[in-house]
Amino acid sequence: MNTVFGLVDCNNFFVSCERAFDPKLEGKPVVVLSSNDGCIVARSNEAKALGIPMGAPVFEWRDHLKQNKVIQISGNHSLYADMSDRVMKTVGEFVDDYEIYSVDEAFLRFGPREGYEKTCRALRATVRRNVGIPVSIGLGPTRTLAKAGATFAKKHPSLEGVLSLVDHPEIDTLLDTFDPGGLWGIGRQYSRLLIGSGIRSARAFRDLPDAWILRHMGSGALRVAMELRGTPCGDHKEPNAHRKSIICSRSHGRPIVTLAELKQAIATHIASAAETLRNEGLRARWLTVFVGLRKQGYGQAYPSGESITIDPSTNDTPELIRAAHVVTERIFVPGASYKKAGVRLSEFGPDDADQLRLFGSVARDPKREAAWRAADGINAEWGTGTIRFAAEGVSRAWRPKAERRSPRYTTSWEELLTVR
Amino acid sequence: MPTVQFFQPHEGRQFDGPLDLNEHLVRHPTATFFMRAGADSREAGIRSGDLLVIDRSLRPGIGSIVIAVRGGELRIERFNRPANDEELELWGVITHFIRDLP
Repeated sequence: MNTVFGLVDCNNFFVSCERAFDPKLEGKPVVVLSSNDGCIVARSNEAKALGIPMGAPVFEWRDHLKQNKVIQISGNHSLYADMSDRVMKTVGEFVDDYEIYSVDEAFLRFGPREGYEKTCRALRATVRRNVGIPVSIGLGPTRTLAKAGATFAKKHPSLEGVLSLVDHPEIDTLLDTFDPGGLWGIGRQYSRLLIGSGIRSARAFRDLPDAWILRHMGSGALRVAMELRGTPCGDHKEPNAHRKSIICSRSHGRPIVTLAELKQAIATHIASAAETLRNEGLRARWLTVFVGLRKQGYGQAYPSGESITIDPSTNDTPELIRAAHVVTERIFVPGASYKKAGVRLSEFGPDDADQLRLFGSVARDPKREAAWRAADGINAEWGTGTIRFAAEGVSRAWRPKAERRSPRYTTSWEELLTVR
Repeated sequence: MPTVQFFQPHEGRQFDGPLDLNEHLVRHPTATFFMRAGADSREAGIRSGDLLVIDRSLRPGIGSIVIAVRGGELRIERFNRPANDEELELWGVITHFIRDLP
C-alpha cells in the first residue's frame, strides 16, 4: 500500500457559512442564490429533502419555495471566500501535503503509516469549532475512493463525518449502494448509459470488463473504474468537461524582489490562464495567487497564497488581472524574494454567466468578447503572449442584483454582526 | 565538523519591526472574528458600540465572557456555569474589546 488520499469536503458550504453567523437558520430549509438571484447554487439538507435540485432557476421554483417556507439568501461571496480561506488554513495546520481543489474541497495525502484517520477526526473537530463549518472527510487508496468515502460520511451521521475506505472489509456492500452517476468523473450522459445497460451501482460499474468501458465510455471512465478498484491513476487530470481549475505557475530564474515585478509576473500567468478559460468556454469565480518566498533570516522557502472571489464570474483578462493584483498587494512582503509565483482559477460552474445571459439583465459586451477571441486567435497562431494586455483597470459598469445578501461579517468593518 | 549557531528569530516575528497590533489581539487568525456590541452589557463593562474580538479556538474558564447561542441568537454572556449546562451552545470566547474614545 502506498499513499493514502483524503478528501475534505465542506457540508453545504455556502449554507453553513450563513448558519455560522445566523443560528436561526439551523434546521430550516435554506437555499443560496447565484449573483443576480437567478439560480439556486447551494441547498441545506432540508432543502435537498424537498427535492429542490442544484442549479434550479428561482423563477421556476418560486411557488414551491414559498409553500415550503424555504429561506432564500443571495450569495455573499466575500464571506464564503474568507471562510474557505480559514478552513483551508486549518487543513494546513494538520496536514503537510494538501491541495485546495475548490472553494470547499481539499485533497490530502498521507504516507501509509501515518495515523491518518485520527488526524482527520481531529481536523474535522477543529474546523467545526474554530471556523464553525461542518466538514466530511473520506480516505482511500485513490482519490475517487476518498471522494466516495466523503460522500458516505456526509450521508450517514453515525460515521461522525469521517470514513476510511482503506482496506475496508465491506467496501463491496458500500459500493453496492452508491449511484454510479454520483461518481467523480462520470457525467450525466454516462450515468444514463449505465442505467440503460442495467449498471445500477458503483460496484457493478467497477466490475465491468475494461473493454466494455473503453468501448462505450472512453479512457476517462476506465480510469474511474481502476481507481475504484484501488489503483491510483495519474495526476487526476480530469477531462475538460469536469475541469475544476486552471493553474499557471513558474519558478523564476532570478528571484523577484519588487512588487512591480511580482505583479507583472502574476499578470502574465493570468493572461495565459484566461486564454485557456476562454478556449474552453468557461468563466471563473475564484482566483488564487500563490508564491514561494524566502524571507530574510529564514533558511527555507515556504509557500504562501491567498484567494479572492470574482462575482459574477468572468473570463475577462483585465478584470482577472485587477483581482489578482489586489491579492498580490496583500500578500507581498517587502524584503522577501520570490522564487515562484502562480495563479489558479476555479469554481467554473454552475455558472451565473449563462444565467445572466438567460435572464437578459446584464449586457455583455460583444465587442470586448470579439476582441478576446481575436487576441486568443493570434496568440494561438503566433504563440501565447504575442498580444499582451496592458494591466490597466477596467471599472465595472454594473453590479449584480443581490437583494437578500447577508452582511459581510468577516470582510467589512461596516457590516459586523451586532450582539447584545 | 564544528557548527555555528546563528540567532534564529521566531516565526511570525521578524527582526525588530514596527509593532503589529494584530499580533497582540489576534492569537489564532483562522479562529478570530469581530463583532460589535449593540447595547451596554452587564458583563465586563462592555458598552454599546465596542468592537469585540472573539476567539473560537479557546475553551472558556469560569468567568470568561463568551458569545453563546440562545434561542437562535448570538448573545454576550458570562460563562459561570458548570460544564453540564446542556442548554449552552458556545460560539466563542471574547478576548478583548476595543472602544473609541470621544
